[in-house]
Amino acid sequence: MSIPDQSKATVAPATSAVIAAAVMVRNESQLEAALDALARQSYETAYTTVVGGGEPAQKVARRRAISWVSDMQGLIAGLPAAATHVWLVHDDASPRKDALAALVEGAQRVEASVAGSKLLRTDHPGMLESVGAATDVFLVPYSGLDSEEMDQEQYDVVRDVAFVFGASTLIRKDLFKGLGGTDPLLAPQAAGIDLSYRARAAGGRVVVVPSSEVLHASLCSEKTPLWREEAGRFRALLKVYSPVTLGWTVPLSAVIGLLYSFAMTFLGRKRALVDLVLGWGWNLYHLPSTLAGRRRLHRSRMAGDEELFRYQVRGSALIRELSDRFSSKVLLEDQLAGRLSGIIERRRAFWHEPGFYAVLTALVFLLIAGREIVADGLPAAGLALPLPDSAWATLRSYAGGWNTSGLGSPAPLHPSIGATALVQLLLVSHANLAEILLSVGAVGVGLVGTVRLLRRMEMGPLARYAAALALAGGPATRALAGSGDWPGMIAIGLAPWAVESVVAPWPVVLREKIGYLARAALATGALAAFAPVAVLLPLAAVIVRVLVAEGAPWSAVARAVPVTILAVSLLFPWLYRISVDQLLSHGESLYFNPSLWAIAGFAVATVFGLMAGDRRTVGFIGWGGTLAVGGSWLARTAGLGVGREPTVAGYVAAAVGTAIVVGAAIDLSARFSDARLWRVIGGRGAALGGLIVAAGVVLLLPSGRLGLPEDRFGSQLEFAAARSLDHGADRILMVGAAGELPGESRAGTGFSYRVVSGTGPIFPEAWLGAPRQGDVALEEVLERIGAGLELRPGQSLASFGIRWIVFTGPNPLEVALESQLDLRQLPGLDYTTFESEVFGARAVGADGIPWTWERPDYVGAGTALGPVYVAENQDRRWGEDWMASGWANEVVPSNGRITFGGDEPNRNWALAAAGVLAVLAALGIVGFDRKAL
Amino acid sequence: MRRALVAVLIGVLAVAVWLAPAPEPVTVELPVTTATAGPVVASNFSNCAWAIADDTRETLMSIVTLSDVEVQLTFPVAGEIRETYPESLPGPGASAIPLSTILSLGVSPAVVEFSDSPAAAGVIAEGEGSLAGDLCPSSASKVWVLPGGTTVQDRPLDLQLFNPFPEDALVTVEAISEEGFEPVPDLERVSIPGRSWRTLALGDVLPFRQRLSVTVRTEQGRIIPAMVQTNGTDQAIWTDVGRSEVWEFPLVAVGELQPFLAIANAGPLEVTYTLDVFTADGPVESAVEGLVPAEGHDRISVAGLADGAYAVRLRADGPVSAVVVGEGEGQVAATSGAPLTARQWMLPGAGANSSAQSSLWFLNTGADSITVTYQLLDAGGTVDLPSKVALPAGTVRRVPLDQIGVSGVIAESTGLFSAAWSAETELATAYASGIPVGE
Repeated sequence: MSIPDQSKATVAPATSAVIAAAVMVRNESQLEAALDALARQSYETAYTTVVGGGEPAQKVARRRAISWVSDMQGLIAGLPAAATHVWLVHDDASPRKDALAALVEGAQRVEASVAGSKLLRTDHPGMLESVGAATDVFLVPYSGLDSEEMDQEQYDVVRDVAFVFGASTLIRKDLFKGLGGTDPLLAPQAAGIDLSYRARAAGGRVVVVPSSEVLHASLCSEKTPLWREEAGRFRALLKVYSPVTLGWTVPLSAVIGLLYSFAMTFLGRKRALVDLVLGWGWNLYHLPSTLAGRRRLHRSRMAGDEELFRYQVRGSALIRELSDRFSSKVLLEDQLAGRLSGIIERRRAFWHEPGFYAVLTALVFLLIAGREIVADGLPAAGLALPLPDSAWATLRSYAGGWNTSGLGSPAPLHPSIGATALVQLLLVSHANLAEILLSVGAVGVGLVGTVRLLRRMEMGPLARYAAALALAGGPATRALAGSGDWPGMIAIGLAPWAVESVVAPWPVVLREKIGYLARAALATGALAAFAPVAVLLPLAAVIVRVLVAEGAPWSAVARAVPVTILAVSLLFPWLYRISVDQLLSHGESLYFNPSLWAIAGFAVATVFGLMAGDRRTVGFIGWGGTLAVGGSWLARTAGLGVGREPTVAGYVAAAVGTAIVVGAAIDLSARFSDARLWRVIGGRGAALGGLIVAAGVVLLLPSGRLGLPEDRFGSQLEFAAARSLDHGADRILMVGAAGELPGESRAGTGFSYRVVSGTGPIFPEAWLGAPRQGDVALEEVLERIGAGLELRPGQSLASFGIRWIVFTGPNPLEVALESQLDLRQLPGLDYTTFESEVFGARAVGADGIPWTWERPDYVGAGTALGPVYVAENQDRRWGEDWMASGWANEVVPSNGRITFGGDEPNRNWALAAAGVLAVLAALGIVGFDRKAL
Repeated sequence: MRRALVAVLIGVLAVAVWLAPAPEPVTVELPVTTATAGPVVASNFSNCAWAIADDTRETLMSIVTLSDVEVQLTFPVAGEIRETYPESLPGPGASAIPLSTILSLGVSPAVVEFSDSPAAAGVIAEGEGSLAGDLCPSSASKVWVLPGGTTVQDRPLDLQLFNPFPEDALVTVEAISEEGFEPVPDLERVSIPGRSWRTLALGDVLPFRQRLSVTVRTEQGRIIPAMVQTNGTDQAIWTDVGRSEVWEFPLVAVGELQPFLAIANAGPLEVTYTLDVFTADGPVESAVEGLVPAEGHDRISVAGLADGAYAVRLRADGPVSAVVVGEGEGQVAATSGAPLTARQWMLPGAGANSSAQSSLWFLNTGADSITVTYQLLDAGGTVDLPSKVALPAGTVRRVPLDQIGVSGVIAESTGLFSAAWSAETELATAYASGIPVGE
């Protein structure tokens, strides 16, 4: 192949460089031409060697009296002492006559350790192939060239690049030997990336010298499968980055690789996923040599990862490629030239933002970590109970209606029930969708909220994202979710928003100030709905911040007080009825006992952060640490008799505080990467501790339930609805240990128990009211049954509307049922279940015909006469014509319906709270300042 | 300075976290699933494992109550409730309901339920040359021990297994004879369907055994057993009322029947026992001594221990089951002893058989004299005024019942005593234990 002589006059290098040329053989057919091109160089090579290629190449070398070696090791060993540089040339490359001279001159002029030539296509000599290139952080190359871009000397300036393609590379001999040459396992492009990155990490400068032109036939690339290049890039990444950088690049690279491969399957590369798996397998297989390469580089390493980042493009080149491909598929070419081109360009800019990838990664994480919730809905366990079909019925109960939990009561429902019902109502009562939105959405909201909070603190992106992961997967969140405390889990997701709302800068304009307070009250109120005692968290957070962090304004405390008061108003009517003692001591609380790993990670982050941090970092560590440790103490007061609500608030505080500490620790490491050694070490130690805590988020992935326990009361209780009679499912008495029952339970002698509706436990019935007459009567019956004094327990329980008894574990009551006459055990169910042979509906007319329960009312035939026995706790507000029937009610129905008349004070409080909510929402919208975002 | 203050603050909080006590773990203690039958104490239900009504025999379902009660008799047959019989009974009162007025299907065990307690039930079955009766126990244990049987020639022995509950039961019957433990495959994992019963003819699987004790172990569900011994035309029925180290037998010998004590030791250690004899004049302590091997039994004659009417108290150094058996020519009677003493006793069925001579037996093994007041009862309530009998320390009294139309008796005293009753005709005899009323 003849080469058009387009050589330009080149100035001879100032100092003489002794060049040892090495022709890397990948395609023997081009070797002769390559050697001819080398022979014609104006800058003579002192030594020429042929590397690889087997016997044909060996013959060619022998015929030309040129040395031949089989591999890179042979080349390195055979390099003459006099040589100062090594010129690596592919056998399918044809350097112009002055290519080497230009390379040497250019490298010496800028004192570069590695210099690459401008590559032109052999078939179209005027067309550019490579002028050095950038990569993204995952070492995926990004050339910046347009397709079939012609060489118009537009890139002809010596400049630093991320890597040079290995077709023509001049490298200092000492550096070449120190790095061990190129990696023989890597494909050509990946080998160039690998060599360039390692050279830069070893303190060398990598430049492209466009005046050195080389024609390249690209035969080496044609023969190499694409997956080898991709795998080789990943190997180069593993070799060159520090452990801290690997900690986030490896998983992100895997996720982006998966996304890319999946998308490319539909965009013309059907083998994409197969190639991905091949690449991972290849890297796994060669991991030992990869690690050896890391150790070798470590011996000569002079620069940190920051030096490598300098020549990288932002974002992901793969995602950018995907967006380009997608755009070109969707849009017609002529539209690209029109107004839409501007939109596309802006969209491309958005797609190129790091935040976009963070959002994408978060979505993928949520889909994987919450896949079971998305597919099957909320698992029924603990307080994580499915939502009922009708949100309106729940809201009716909430606003002074009948609380249907257990045997019923007029007690107000927990504020989280009202909040979830509101969300469900907005989704047109779609229960499953509401569960997914509240569960997966809460975690997502928590991620975003944490990022916002820490952006408000001016922390870097890596710190913000790590903190978000620490919130979602930290020990407090995992412990609370693992116990089935679904409302607590939602509260943790809302907490960063509530805290951020009171630390945000105070606006100037009055309208915006009002909007600020309104939105802060809404955020705090939303948090308090799911964890009432946590209404104090934003206030506590600002107070702590003022005390420990420099520069935090006391005015934030003054703002947080009215915010807290407004938020408290949203907790009515529940707060109206509950006493302080009940608030502080009612309910089962989970004793916080984090793992040693989590404690160690947090301690390392805190201690190193305090030691090595500047004042800013100390302030954040102090703020977050106080919240985290103080919250942890509150979450460990179960042994002191403290009830659920305060301990859940402790968990929420601990989660937020932990996230702040993690963020501060990683921010410290990023900001002081080039400070004094002790600060760098301290920063890296703190970051390591923070990463250990944040890494807990991966523990959410296997189950697919965001850390919630597996379903225990869903399918296991379906038999009740399946075997229901015409009037609907009858009540179920569930008996077991306290922690093995849905929601709250009551204590018997040696067992706990609770009554649930026959359709299964639902979230609005998670909490039980204070015991009333019916509950006392039921307790007495169960005591008698447990003492073996009841031969017909079915008959005794029929008056309570109980048809089923389900045992979630062995207990004394089950033993007592071994000798009874009217309960038949059902075989083949997950739990030991007995069915009563005695008919007993929740409501029965005088004619013996049962009434149907349509939560929270009872419905019967419109023509029914006479009183109806209603097995709910006695309350005269069940009807105007009401009579007590033991502990229950006898009501004369009206138009075939029995409805609880309502608790006026509760209703009024609920309506007032709704009004406050509406006003706050309106003020929040009116006073919204977009710039404050 | 600020750095140090923050460190101190976090450090102090961390110490507080570390010191926060964990809550006490809650342990659920499962009750010892009554491995052994407990003493029969008047309750609000009784299980009558054996009752019979056919062409030749009639059973009186006898009930005694202290307060007004609604009574329901439930007769499960072949997996279903075949018949229920309600009755109202004023208290204190007693009733003796002929089974044939409810069912006449032959063997018809029943569950007797009371709306209030204390109340108790028993059965007394009579036929041509046959008289048998006993109490109906209130407990439904997992392990029952029934000594005192024999399968010698012409002495059929049946083990009645009554399952009144909805769930199927699975039991294994372990038999011990004079030859020791006798494994019988037919007696292993015997299934008794819910709401039914099974009668095992022990004489068919273990014939010609002089002495036979059985232990019924329930693997699944619960059953109530009864032993039914036949001798000639007469029958005796008895059940298990528990294990005790002290047994009182107010009733030992009636008429010409030769009395035996059958003692079963289901434990892993041998048990030595001593018999004390109580007469109308006073006690004779340690009249007899003996030994029951581990997981074995003993049968000892208690004939001729004293002149006239006498009672026996068994004292053992380990818990045992004990039954008194009376055998004669074509006659047999048996009942369990009293594993405890009480101040008040119910005797359902005492005096209910108008053709038999009934007697009440009271035993005072204490150190003080007591006076026992006994009240005869029928369906209308009390019959006549209460009667009294003085019981000096360490004595036994036999009180013949001459009245007719009596269905049961209540006896009480300020001191502890034990009670039983017997009925005899010319050709047949029945023994029955009393039922203590819990305090």
